[in-house]
Amino acid sequence: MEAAEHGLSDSEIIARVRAGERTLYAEIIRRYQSRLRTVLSFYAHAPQQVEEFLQETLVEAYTSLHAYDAAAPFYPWLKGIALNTLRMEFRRLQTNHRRGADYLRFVQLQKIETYAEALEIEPRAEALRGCLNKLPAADAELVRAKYADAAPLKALAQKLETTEGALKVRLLRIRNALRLCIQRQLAVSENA
Amino acid sequence: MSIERFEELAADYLDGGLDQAGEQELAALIHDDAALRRKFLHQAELDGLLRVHHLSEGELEETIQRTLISLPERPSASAARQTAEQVMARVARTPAPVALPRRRWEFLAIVAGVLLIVSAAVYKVFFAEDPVRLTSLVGVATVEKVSGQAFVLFTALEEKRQASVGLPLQVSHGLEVNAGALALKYWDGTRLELHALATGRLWLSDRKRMRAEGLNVRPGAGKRLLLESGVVTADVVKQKADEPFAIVTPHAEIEVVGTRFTVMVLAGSTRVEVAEGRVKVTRLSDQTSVAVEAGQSVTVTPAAQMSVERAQL
Repeated sequence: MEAAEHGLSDSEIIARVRAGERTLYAEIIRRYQSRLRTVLSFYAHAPQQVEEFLQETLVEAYTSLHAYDAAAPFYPWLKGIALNTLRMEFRRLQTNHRRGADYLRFVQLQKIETYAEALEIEPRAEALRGCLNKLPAADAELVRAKYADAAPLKALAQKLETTEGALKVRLLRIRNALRLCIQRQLAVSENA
Repeated sequence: MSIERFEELAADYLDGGLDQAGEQELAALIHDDAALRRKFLHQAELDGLLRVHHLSEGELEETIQRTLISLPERPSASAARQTAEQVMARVARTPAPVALPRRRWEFLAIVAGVLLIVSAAVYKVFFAEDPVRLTSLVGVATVEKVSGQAFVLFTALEEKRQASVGLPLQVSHGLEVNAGALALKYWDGTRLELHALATGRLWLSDRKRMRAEGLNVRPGAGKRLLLESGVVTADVVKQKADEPFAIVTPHAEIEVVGTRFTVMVLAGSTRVEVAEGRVKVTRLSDQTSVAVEAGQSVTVTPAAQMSVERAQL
């Protein structure tokens, strides 16, 4: 069954979901979840918030499948729903961001005005893969421990025989280095 | 303010370890300094990209399962109408009631009786006619018990029909309870009892409704309900620690991981009484929180100080 699902086009899957094969929608989620997460995380770094936006997008897309034009590519339509979800939250926070946490979310969501089509975001994720391979071994290991293993900073600091403060600064530097590497990669790709 | 202080605050924020005061300080820093704001956004962007890059297959699969559970039966508006008609046809055939053991019925009757007496007294004293309005977010439930007049509301169809035991409830459905009670059960066993002393409406809808109504609710996974007015008793099965069950009222957000408690929304306040376990109650106007233990209660108003008291039953 899974192999058969993988061979189906998006339009074929959508047609069958519309006809009532609800669980087949799982294949759509499988195909596009990571790309959607990449886009959403550009505007909201907190994992819980990305998860919520993602859920909203996927449920909204499902309930709006009757409006999807099967002749057009599916992912741009899906991404459009994700961006609209973000825009709604941005509009809500525009009038309600007195609290610190709300302002910090608002500032990140504000990018939707500049990067409205989110065209540059996915290439950054691609570039990140290459840049992670270029990190010094110790830094790569630290990134893996923090993000893949979700190790608490206190435990990592003890393991590396350093302070939490020093570790935080090191992570800030690593993220900055990755950002500059991504920019260079994207510049090279543009000129190629 | 030093760059070191900004870096410390930004690092804690990205790690999810910044408290309210820290968030306020960081917000003020980046609000006043465009360069710091850029640095913050760069760090947040990379942090987000790194988190997505390192997600495990298990986490991705979990999202798929969680989403499938949230989906209505059919995707389109016309299909939703079709589903509603099929559901109502089933209702009209009078499905068999759920049979509970006699002792359980007696216990439920006693609890319901006590709550009804208390609720009636409070209702008479404080307000004339207030509907029980509840909006459920994310999750599928089934009607377990009905007394008085109870109806299912279909938002897409703008009509209502008689509810009955065994009726499946989906996202976007609503319930209207008149001077009676309705019990519903979620797929994980979490139970709610809704009590109305006058005509009341309860809605099952999605998260967008909560934000569209301008409620200042923190994002997060887990079942959430919007109780606009009236009385709800909840028996919450143990939830995942990072996916608490939450009831949101116009004044407060009540978060639980697993417990029994009652929420009463009056004209200008929300009262929470805990029978078992422990809940966290957060006032929406300023995000002040208190913990309420078994045998305790708290009344939340927008302005007055929140104080936890012994519950009066």
